[in-house]
Amino acid sequence: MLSGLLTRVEGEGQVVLKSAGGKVAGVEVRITEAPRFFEYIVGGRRYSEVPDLTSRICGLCGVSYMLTAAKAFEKCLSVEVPEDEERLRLAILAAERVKSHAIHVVYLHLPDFLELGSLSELAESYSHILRRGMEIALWARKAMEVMGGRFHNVVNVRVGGVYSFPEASKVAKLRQELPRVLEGFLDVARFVMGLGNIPGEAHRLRYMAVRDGDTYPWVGSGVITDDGSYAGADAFESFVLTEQVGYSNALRYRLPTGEPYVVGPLARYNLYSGRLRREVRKFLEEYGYGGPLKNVYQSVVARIAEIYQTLLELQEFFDEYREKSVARAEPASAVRGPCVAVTEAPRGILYHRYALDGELRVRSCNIITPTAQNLASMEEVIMSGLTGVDADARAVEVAKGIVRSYDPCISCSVHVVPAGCTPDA
Amino acid sequence: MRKLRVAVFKLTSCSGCLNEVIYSMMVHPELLRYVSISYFTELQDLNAVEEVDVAIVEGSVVNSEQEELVRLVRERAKLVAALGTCAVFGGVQSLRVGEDLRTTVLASYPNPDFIRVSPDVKSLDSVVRVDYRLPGCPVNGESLARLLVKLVLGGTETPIHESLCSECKRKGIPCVVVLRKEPCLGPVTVADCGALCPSFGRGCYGCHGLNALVVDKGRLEEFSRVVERLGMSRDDLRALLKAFSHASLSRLSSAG
Repeated sequence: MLSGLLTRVEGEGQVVLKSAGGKVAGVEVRITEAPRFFEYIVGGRRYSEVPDLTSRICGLCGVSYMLTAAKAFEKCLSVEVPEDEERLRLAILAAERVKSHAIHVVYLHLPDFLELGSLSELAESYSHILRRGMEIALWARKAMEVMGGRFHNVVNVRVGGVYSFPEASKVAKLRQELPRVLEGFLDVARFVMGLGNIPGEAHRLRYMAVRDGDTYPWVGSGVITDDGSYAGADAFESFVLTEQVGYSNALRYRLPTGEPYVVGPLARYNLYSGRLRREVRKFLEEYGYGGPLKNVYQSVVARIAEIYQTLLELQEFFDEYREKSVARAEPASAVRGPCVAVTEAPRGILYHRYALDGELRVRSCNIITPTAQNLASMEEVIMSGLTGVDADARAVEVAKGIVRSYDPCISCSVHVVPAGCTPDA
Repeated sequence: MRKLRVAVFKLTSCSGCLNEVIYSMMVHPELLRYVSISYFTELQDLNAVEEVDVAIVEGSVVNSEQEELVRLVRERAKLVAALGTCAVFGGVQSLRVGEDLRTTVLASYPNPDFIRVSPDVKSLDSVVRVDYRLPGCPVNGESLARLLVKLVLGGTETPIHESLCSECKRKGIPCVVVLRKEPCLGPVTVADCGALCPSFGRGCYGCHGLNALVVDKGRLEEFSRVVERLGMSRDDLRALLKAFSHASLSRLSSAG
């Protein structure tokens, strides 16, 4: 048995290759991070406190966790979120997608394509790219600070809307800086795409993303798979198959057929690339990317496409931005229907379900994270390439590289639901 | 100039404060020239627990393996910095403390032995001696950057202990308690976030932790009465304090 600690990923995990006669015969992607029992700790809390708590699940995608929780309660407590407030929340979510993807593309993933092992090596040899990457991340940080208060655990998302609108002058400044950010982004994108070494052979992949109105996906009424199957948000838990394996601190999920599936940028891109803006599609075509992405390493292409698309969407938001006063929409005092929501976190479908008691306190909760949904696919893709090859340190590196392509968020995925907290009862 | 040898460890947490470490290096790119990193799994492939000048530790201690790691880190580091509310106080996962692990949590695992968590969620300084405490959920990246720059230059940190209210006063942010009659944990919370929540028109929920140098049991009781009148129940206040100030709250409670 050979194992490698997962590096250049968020959180603690391990890839273990099992060998038979010196050849790779099995793989376990282990999530070793100690659980924090979020489903349990939100128990008893009032609905209004929950978004600030679930934000703490993830240091990279906290806005997604806040917004999904807020939306779940808005649904069952019949809250009408004013349109301007919803647009602001989606802009904060968009800034988070830029931040998360920029960090992954430049800091965590790029070293793989350059065969380097660390940020310091990257800084020595490719300081100009690192500087450009930094500018994107720092601008996204500033955007989150202006609109949400800070880089993570933002304070401006509440059940019913936002707490306040940022000053128009601050938003205008972000808008002013955007052309330079876009220019820097294109430098980074051209550099990565121009390396020409992103693997392209087809992996066996199935995909799922939320179904959104007519935009590139952010939030939706339910989920849709590559063969067109649809499940409403309230049917999501019964739509996917849930499994638990002894070696991992995270539950994992499969399609109704038992096949693993992929969520995140690759899935969104393959299901919705027709909704990307013309300039984004044109840019990708310059590098030969027109059709669906078939290899998990090409997730980097999808991340680049999404950073571009999202920066353009933010530009439009800034152009139309008007400072308003908040409505502080208040929810109904009684629950109607299930408190469920699905959104697209940077890494894919994020599902929240809550049950509230008569005092509107959480009685039970289930959270299904993107990384947990990707785990089965990671193992399948690793085995498709490594079955029967020499079980050596090189094989471990290949396996780690595959896992890294999915941009796993390990802290988030550690969600074994404590007994008594799952059923809606 | 000799490089400052730094190691960055993650225990049980969301990794959000690690991103602030990265941020501090982004805003001070020169740090990369004066710092050598021997351990930081989020950023590099080769990592070893070596002798270092400063070990930065994110996260709370929730099992014996982490306790062992932290002791080893302490042995090999001249200085240890607790990074963020999880390392300083325990963090939101502390909300599970007090429940019977065996019956409630471990019951759901097919193989309970695989999950190694202790009943308690410990702050770093309840396991080893800690030189610097940087609370915040997340920690303020600017404060972390300042500490690193000072250490590179051979200086040290002088902690300032004031409550959030002073930041509101200094910035001229209208008091949410006075203006909106909303509960706010500012008076009992450590400053350094820039009075973020009040600046967005909402009460502070205490994510930088209890200002234990100012707040004693009597004052906390008085404060509980004030926020209760503003509509926050004692249980809800206690839950917020447990989520973001577990270690301090336990000390206050055991102080008799």
